[in-house]
Amino acid sequence: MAGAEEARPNAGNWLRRALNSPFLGSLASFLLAIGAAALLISLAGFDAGEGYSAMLRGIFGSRMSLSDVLARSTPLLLTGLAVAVPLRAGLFNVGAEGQLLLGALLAAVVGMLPGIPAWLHIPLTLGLGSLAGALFGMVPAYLKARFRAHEVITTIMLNYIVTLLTGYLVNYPLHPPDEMLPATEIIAASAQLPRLVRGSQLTIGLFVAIACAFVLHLLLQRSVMGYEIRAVGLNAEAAEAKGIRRTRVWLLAMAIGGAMSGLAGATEVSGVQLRFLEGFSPGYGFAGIAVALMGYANPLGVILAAHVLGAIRTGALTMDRTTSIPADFVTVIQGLILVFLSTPGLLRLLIEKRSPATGSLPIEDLTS
Amino acid sequence: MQITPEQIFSLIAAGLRATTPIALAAIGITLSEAAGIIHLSAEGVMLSSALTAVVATHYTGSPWLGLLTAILTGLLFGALMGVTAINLRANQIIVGFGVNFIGTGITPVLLERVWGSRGRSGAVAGLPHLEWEWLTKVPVVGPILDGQSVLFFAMLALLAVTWVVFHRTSYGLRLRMVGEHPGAAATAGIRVNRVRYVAVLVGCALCAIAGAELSLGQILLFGRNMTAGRGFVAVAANVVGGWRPMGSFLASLLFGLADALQLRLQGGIIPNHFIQMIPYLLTVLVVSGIGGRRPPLAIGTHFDPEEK
Repeated sequence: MAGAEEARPNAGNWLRRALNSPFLGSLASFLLAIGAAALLISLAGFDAGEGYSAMLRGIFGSRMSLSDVLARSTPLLLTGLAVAVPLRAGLFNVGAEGQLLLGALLAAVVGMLPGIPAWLHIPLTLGLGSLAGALFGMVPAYLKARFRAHEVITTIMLNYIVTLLTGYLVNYPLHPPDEMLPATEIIAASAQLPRLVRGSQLTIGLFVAIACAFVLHLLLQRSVMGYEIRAVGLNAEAAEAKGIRRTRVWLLAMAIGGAMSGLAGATEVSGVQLRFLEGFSPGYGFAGIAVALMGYANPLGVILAAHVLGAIRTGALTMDRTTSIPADFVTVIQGLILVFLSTPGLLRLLIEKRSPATGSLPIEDLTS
Repeated sequence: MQITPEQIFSLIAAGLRATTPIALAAIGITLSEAAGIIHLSAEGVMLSSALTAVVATHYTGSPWLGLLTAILTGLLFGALMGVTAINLRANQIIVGFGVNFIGTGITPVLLERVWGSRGRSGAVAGLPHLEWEWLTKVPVVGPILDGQSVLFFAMLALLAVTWVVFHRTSYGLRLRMVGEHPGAAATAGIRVNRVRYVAVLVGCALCAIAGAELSLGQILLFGRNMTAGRGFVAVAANVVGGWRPMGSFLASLLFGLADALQLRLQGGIIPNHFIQMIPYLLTVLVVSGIGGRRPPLAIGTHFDPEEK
């Protein structure tokens, strides 16, 4: 617990904060994971050096690769925020995947509506996608506040429920008759996000995501709401004693988290997929767990972490094409990052305290 | 539509086949969580064990060595969970997701290595299915049990052993005490972290047997992501079953039968997507306090023997 009591100057010096120990801790975990993954893949009889150099070529090799990295980082940045903000309130939102799917579905439905001008259609699509995610995100918060249902269990289960629900919808009621794939119709041109680079999937969604991160950073650090979120995350009982209503904070934090996941789904549909295709998300919501933890649940840290993971996921595709190592290898790296990040002996990030009244596992926040 | 007894028997038999892997993993999760260690990694452990079972069978020709290899794989993951969650005081939820990522990511890599394919392995010899001449002649039981995998019977035996150890032995008492009141357990002379280690290792070994049942007991090859969420259905069964071996089994049985029913009703009035939701919906209800038990008090916490 050492370090938790240390008062830290709460100046808005993001650079100093970024260079503080969380940054080095994250970097250490990342490098350890890269090293351990290299060891594993060598044991399996592959050439790790060849794999990693192919990955680097995929990241830095061409002019297109940078925009590919940024395009792939966009949903990761948003799902990273979706996990990070509830984490600051002491909630572990592993439901980002489900919230993303619901947001994507609503965006696809709204996007199909004809005759809406683009200046209205795009914000409407993204906004309603976020709203769907936000409302759905509040369900586990409500169940926790009202029935003490652990949010990790409920969000895992809700992920599957939404996967099945959206699967049903795109296979039956929303399935166009002449379509072979389990997907909705292509959305109207007026709902499609403008692309920034010709031939790339990079859209203005990236700016939306980065703006969200900055807004959430200010909200957490500078607003009463943010103070309440952090207070509940540090010690829910003490916060309650000071008159902060825990239930309200939980609902709010999960609504923000759900909105970010929903927005991730909506930007994927309106910018990349242009429809809801069953199984389109390669686990963006789950990767968000790694992004949030790597970013130390700090929105600005999440920006950095999302781009690091976005880069290795992009590089992995080149590795997949040019070597015999499958792109799935990147999931191993992601898992190892989590294992290394999970140990406070190494990082002191997550020291669990039990609060008997709720049965929750508030996660101590050493970043602020 | 006329429903014949044969159709009902075959439905139940299919339900039991679906139950076997879920119940094995759920009982493993129960052991680990009863001792206080959150166990969300069944999916990853099952998937990688299902693959190593097939790899070992492919090279040795013996499905029994395949099963052994699967168990060793499970123990390896159990050791990783033990070192991180017990010794290094890691957040057990994060470790669980980490193991799942490692399990899902490493399997296509190994598939590529051994078979040069990312989708599926070659076919291998499976574990034997019991074919007793006399059994098939017994009414009702015969048609249901005929052709079940040998691991189905192993699952029943393991359930019985686990139930006895859990409820009727001092070891079971210690296990539950470590999960409820580790401080008191330590005062009573119980070595808390040792009991937890054993629980996590056995728990992961059971998840590994569940994986081997999928690849060597039922399909006889490894397919990419063949667990298809069964590890989380097992997590659900443990919650619905109230963190008790028999409860986990009965919940798994319910989910297994629902799964078999879902396959039969495909294209029927109720879309199978909604039947597939049953385990997850039920878990949300149960964890919200509608029936079911509370989790062990000390779940997710760490115990430092120096502190007491």
